[in-house]
Amino acid sequence: MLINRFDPFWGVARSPFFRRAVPDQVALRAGRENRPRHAPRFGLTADDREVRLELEAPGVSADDIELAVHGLQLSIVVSREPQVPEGFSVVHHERRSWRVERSVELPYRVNLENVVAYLDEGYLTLTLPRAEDEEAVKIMVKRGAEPQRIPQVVDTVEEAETDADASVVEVKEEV
Amino acid sequence: MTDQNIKWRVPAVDIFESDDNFKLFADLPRVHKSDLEITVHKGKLKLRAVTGEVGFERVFSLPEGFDGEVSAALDAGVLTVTLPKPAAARPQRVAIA
Repeated sequence: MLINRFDPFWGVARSPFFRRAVPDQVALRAGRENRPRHAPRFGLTADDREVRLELEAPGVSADDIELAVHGLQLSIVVSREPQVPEGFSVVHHERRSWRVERSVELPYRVNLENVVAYLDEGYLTLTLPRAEDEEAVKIMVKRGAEPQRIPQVVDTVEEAETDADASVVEVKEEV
Repeated sequence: MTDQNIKWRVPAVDIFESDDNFKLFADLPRVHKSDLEITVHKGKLKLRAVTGEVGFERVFSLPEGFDGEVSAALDAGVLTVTLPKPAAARPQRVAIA
């Protein structure tokens, strides 16, 4: 009698019927939009009070995430490459490598001191609270004209052979 | 058990094989150990996790008579399940006299 090859995942990789969603291989309740995806789920929302960024990044550690705010620009760079464990061969492969590299203009300035980013079991959330509007600066109007500025001597030639050779900047003074 | 409006998702899975084991990796973002349920029953390996309004579920068929000890670990949202092969299924080096 033939001994069947021990393969717990025959239905996933080997069966020719895999593509037709053998019922016990895929949760039937998942709609098409909830099948395994190629790109990570990424959400960026903003309301009057804060901007929120959410990214699904399983297998990513905090060191692999680059997040920066510069003025009104928020940038994020994250990438992920699932590895084959040492000494193993691939039977079935769905988890894809991906890279997210985005630069977004924020709708308002944010309070950089209160920015919080969490990485919770591969789920990144970043909250950027809106900056308090700075007080308007009042400008006083003074009578009169702006005082003239006296031009400064920027450069002089130290020694001149003759008067003809010297180039001296004449400074005019006005009272 | 009612579903309470849970959005069900199929986790992406990689399966690898060595001489001694199968290893299954599943992406389960935002899932903690307490949310996760792994069961082996009647020849089926079932992964199930509910976190908030999102649920992950996937079932795999195991061959009859599989009774190895399955172990699992969860790290950074990635679940690793290790299924040892019974001795008969491991490659056997045959010595030549």
